[in-house]
Amino acid sequence: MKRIVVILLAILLVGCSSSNMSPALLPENSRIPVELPLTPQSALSKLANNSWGIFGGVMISNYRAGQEINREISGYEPYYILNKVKEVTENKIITTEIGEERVAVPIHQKLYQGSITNVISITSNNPMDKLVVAGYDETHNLLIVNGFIPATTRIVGITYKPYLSFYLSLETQGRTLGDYIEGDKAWGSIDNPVIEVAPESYAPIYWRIKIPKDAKNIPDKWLVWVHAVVGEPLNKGTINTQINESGFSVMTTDNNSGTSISTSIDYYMSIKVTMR
Amino acid sequence: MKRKLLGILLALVLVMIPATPVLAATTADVTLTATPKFIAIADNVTSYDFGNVAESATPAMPTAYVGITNTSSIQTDQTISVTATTWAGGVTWAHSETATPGVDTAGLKASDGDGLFDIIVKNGTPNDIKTNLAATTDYSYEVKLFAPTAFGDGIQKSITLRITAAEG
Repeated sequence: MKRIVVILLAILLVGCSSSNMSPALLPENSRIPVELPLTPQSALSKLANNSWGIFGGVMISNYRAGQEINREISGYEPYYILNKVKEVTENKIITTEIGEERVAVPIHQKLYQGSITNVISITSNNPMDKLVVAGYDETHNLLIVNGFIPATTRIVGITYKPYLSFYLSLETQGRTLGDYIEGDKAWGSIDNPVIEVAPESYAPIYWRIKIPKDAKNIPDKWLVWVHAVVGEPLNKGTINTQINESGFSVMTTDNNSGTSISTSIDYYMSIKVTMR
Repeated sequence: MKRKLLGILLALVLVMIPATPVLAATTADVTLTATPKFIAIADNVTSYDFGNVAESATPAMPTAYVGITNTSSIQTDQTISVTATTWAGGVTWAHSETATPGVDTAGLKASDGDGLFDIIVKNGTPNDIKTNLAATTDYSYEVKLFAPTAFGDGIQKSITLRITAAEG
């Protein structure tokens, strides 16, 4: 009989102790945003002039397929594009026809504030030209320039303050980062894949992650890259103007023999995810 | 007495056993942490003109001609590539992924400031020019052209060289 009482007491004690266990997971520590030792504004101040960069770095833990992480639900700290490109110079060959004194000149980036006061300079290697910027066609991104000598070819240099267009995407590069291996870039997306940023400014990059619930072979630790690049120039080949591919300065392409290279820069930053 | 005690204990056991929790989560938290990183590099040269080149010529930039100012706050890996498969202008040149020149086919090799030209500049699968580059560490590079063995025309050719910086 005593033995039965002891057994019952033991069962009772076990029952009491297990009743103290929480039926739900403890709240996770959602440190968004963390105390940032570096803010987008302070990072912007570290940028070299006429340069740009990317700022951020988000890690996701306790994730499982089917969940969605986005700015509406999660309120995360976004990545940022930082832009300190104050001016852009483009050189173009322009040939005027007989009687032609006014030319619509295509420019690669959008003119800041759409105002011709942000055209810093316009020059011609033909001293007879007296070039004056008379207007701006925002729809077609054309500067209206007066003062050309008709039936002549010259090289025109235009320096202006631009909005810079950034192209953003989630990408894979075929490489790992520590013990994180690349996931499928289709598991995420960028909400605002093209961003125009004013000089001396920064803009948020909003992204979302959602793996289909039935996805297979998900690594325990995976990453996807936030890729940022300055928008590629459009080849607006009117009025004998050829625009070369370049991030900031557009080179003249003329009909002389020669070989030239222009340079540009792009960036990758990771979003790391740890599965539950 | 013993029976009464036994009865009370049994009742308590019966009450407690159903109270043992069901271990099913009612919440599914995801932890997000933000660690600010900053990647930024700038080059001091945005264009280079090799000028008029002869067939099969191999003109090169001066050593360390392009300077990269790296203000990144984290370690980075950096690659060098061209952004197109062809050189634009007139009869285009194909860009060789092995830096092997041919008829209207050109190649490029680069090096990281030592003049060795030991890195093939490709369009697909870019090669590293710097790996595990420490934060705020600058470097320089130079590029050599491997001109085509024969030209289809004399019109200027151009291509864009791209440095890509990635968290490393």
